Amino acid sequence: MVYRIANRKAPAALVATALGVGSLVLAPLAYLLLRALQAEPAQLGSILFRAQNLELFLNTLWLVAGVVVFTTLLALPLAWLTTRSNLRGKRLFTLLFALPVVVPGYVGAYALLASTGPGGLLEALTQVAWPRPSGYWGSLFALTLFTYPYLFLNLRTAFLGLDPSLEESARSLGVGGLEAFGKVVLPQLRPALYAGWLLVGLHALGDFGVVSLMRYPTFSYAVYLQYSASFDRIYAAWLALMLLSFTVGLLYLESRFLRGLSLSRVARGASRKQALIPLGAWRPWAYLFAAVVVMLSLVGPVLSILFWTRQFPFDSSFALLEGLYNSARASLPAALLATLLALPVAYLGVRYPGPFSRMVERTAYLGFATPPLAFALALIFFSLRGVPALYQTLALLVLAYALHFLAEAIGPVRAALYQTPPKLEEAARSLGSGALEAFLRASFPLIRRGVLASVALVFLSCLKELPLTFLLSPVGYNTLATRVWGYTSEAMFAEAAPFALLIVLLSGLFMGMLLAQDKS
Amino acid sequence: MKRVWLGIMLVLFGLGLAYAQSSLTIYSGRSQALVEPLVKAFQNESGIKVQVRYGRDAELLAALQEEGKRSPADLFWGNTSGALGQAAEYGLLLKLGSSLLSKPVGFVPASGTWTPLSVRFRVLAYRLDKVKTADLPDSVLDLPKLSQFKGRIGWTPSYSSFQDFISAMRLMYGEAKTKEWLLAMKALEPKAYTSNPSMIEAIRAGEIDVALTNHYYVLRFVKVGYPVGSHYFASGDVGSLALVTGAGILKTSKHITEATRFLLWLLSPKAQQFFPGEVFEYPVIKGAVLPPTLKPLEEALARSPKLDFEKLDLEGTLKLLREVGLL
Amino acid sequence: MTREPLAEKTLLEVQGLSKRYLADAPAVVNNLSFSISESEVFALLGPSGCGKTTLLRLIAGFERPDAGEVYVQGVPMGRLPPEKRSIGFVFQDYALFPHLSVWQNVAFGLRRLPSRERRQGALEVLNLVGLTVFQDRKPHQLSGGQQQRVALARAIAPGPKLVLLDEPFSSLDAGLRQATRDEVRALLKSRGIGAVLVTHDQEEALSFADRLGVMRAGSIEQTGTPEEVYGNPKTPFVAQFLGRTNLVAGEAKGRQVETPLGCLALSQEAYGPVLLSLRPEGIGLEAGTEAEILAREFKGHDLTLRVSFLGREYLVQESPTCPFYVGDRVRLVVRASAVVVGRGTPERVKADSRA
Repeated sequence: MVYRIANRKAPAALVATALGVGSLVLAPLAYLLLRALQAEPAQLGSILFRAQNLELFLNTLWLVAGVVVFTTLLALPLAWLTTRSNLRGKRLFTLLFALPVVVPGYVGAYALLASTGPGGLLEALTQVAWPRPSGYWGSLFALTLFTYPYLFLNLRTAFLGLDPSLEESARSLGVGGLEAFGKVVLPQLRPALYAGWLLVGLHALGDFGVVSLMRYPTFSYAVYLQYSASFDRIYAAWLALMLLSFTVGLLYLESRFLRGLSLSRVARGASRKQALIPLGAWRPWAYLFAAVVVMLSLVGPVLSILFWTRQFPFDSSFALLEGLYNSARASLPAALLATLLALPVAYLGVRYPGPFSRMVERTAYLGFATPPLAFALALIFFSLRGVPALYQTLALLVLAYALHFLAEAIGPVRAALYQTPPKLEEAARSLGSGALEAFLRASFPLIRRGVLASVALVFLSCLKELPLTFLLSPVGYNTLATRVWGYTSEAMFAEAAPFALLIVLLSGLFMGMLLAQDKS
Repeated sequence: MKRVWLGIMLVLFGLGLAYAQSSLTIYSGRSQALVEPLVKAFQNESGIKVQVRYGRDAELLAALQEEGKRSPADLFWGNTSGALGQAAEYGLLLKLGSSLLSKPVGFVPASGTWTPLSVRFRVLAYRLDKVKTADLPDSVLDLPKLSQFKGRIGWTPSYSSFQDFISAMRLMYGEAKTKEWLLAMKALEPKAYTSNPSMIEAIRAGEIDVALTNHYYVLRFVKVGYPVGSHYFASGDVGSLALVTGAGILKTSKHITEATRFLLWLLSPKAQQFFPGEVFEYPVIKGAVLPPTLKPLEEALARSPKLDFEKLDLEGTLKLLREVGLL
Repeated sequence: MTREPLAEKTLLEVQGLSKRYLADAPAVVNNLSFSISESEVFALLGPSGCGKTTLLRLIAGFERPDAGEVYVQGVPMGRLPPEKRSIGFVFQDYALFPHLSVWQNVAFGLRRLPSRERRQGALEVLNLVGLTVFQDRKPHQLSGGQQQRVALARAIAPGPKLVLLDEPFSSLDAGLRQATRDEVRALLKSRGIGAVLVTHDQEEALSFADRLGVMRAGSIEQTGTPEEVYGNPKTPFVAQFLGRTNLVAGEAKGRQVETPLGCLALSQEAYGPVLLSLRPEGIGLEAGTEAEILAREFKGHDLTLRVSFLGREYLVQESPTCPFYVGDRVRLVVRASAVVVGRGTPERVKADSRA
């Protein structure tokens, strides 16, 4: 008998913690409203009722929809191949499929542009000029390649936590193969799919690096242009709020989908290991598919970076170690902090579903969707007025990273919690453990995989983050990403290349360590 | 678990505080690649410790405004005169002494709140094997007449240098004529880029044939063998506008002496030599040795139309660009 | 409310407990009271959805009651969280920790002991359930019955005075179920642990419990020893839920009652229209003409027959040697006295029995 988990009151301490996290994330929104309210009515009219807004809106909508569809087409088969099939070298492939997330969009898209067309790297390699991606399809192509790992990691976690007896019982009912997948497995993957889609969608929504290089005007591209051109915080605040309202729409959609979803394991007894599904004659195709994805999303950009070092003279000395140290020192604590903050929020959302917990969870996504520049300005504003000693410290940067990327941490943890039966914690409590201890001893070991995925996602995002780093780091604090940006913006690619490579290497190393620990 | 975290946060906090201690703090809209070598050299010579926060002009200006009186910054080093003018208008900058302002050969703003440090010029980049120089006009105002380049012209309406160029056109020829030019250009269906390097890449890849850009971008790509050349418009033409980078001391500075010393040093021959040598920019004092790809300083300076750079009105330009649908 | 004095010391007392999940839905547990004494094994029997699992969760502290109180050894539990109640809980699907080995599962609640003693303590309890050889296995490597015993071992390891069992035998196959049930009962008795068992299986309740309560729609309809409740059901629901029975309307006249089956003896004095329960084993068959056999169900140790008489069907239990088959004409002989399970007009009585 499955007892209901809804309609129960959450413990006050949990609610208070989640509420605290939520309000921290919401601080930038308060700041934006504060700034936006300083606008004059005439100015406001010219911002809100521009004819272009509609075009931007539609462009953005198409891009987000396209990216969601295409990342799913990549991530779903790849996640399945690396968890459920008998593909060889799963560990390595998992790493390779997760890695493109470390390629900063601005670098990746530039690499694509620099390697295509007459005189590009690909022509040098293949003697044929490759077509240059641009516009909608170019943006879609680049964003798909560099954001699908978010969905991949979410889905992988979900696949590993699936209850195999469900698929088996479907098969025993005469529903086999693909149909069983569609009817039984896919519904189980829904929380992970939604969380992944939301992340990917928000990335597409918030991206301006890729779309500006591909010359495809979207909403956040326009926000970015206005922000960087006008020096005007009020104007920018309004545009950021318009972007956020788009986000609210996405969040609403996701919450509609998620409503009433409770997918914890209801089978009797403890979980069993899953049997691997033989690929048979499909094996060569699976490898081909995997290879194409890895080539396009990883090998291509890395080769481009290497090509730059060869093409451009290599004559400066680099502060590589300093950049490495600073990147790691800010990103790692931020990743851990974000995951720590995500735990109560996700827990509340999964164990005590209801309007309140949904709202708290959504808040995190609003923080993620707030343009980072606005986020940074808000933290400057609040820290200087609240805790001036915190300003210009690493602690503030870590906090900013953690709050901004909180949404990335929630997804995997939430998906893992959905698959952990609440009864285990009750069993622990009947054996004398307090609520927190019960969670740590009974549930935490089971969601460890999700926790690691969260840490990894946030770490990688922090590693390539720019606007927050520029404005909130201690003065003179150089990270790998700021170096890359500093050089590429001056067309000094040779100087930028080692830093870009180091970002990829460091992320790869980190990801490798996480996945090695994750024995499935 | 929580206690451990508290500990970690405290340690990080402490590290951060240690970082905040420094004697001269610069907010630089110019990129690290250009600024860092100069800062290091100055540090070695003077013994004054310098910390730099890098960012884009707009980001740093916004940060300075949010920080208000609590800003730790001593100096603002801007990438464009537009941003510096804005900083002056917001009342962020101190008036500089005449001993400092007498050093540059030109471009000193009337307000005296910032000093020019280097100069770049607007040019027309073109693809060597597709475009003959003879076909290119003497004035940028005649560019819309080149109907053979329809759909093959690149520009950067969102880039600050382009906006400075439009501001200068408005100042010299008036609002109506500038709008007319913009609309005539639009009829040629130019491609808009957000970054100059990607625009030069587009010339290489055959996406466009000519592009309105800054001179040093072309030179940096020429250096690595791209088939690109620069076309200079006639002397005094707005298409040859000089773009000034510079720096000013912030009113919040607690190290005015050190900041002044740094600016003086940046105007010294040794520091100024860095601009043409490393990044193909023109110095603002006489006597520097220029590489062969740059024109002699006097000739270059003579190309730019003469105007008061503080009169370049960015707000109006942004309004116009929005009006014609380019932003 | 006054508490009835109990001969033995009370272990658990539940008083006026109520719980509803939604404001507009009926209460899941409705003003429910009962108590058990030390080392007593008590079974709560009821159909699914009657609120018995919720009641168990209220006692354990997983849910908060809307009204009422739970006393353990006279101490009100109030809002005490589950971990402070020292009540063991065995879940229906065991809820073993999949990431811990068998002995670690059992040692989970022994967390205040030093590590060596924890292991020692866990092994002692594992020994009681005969699973010491599996101590290092993971739960998923055990069979259902073994998992069940680990779950029980885990619940009793911290030494609770009271253990709550939520349908613990329902996922075991029939042969294993009886044996496991006996083992568990013996173990509880030997350690003097009181238990509340929730089940929908009447045979399980009757054989496992010292006393039982029959639950229906959030309330207990009757409590008593298995013999009392089976032999003297107080309501038609109890009579029907606890084994098969024939519900017959009649007109009571003191110790006798007029029914379609003739004038029968009553187990207690009553007057007026009543509803009666006649167990199938209280009716026998003789050769005759008035009734006809509709079905014959042979069960080895006994035989159940469905018989039609005056337009109604009756269940009759006979010895396996009974010589009647489907289609034979017979006569019904009532051997036991009838039990009154309802009073009032036949219509009201019938409506009651159907609800």
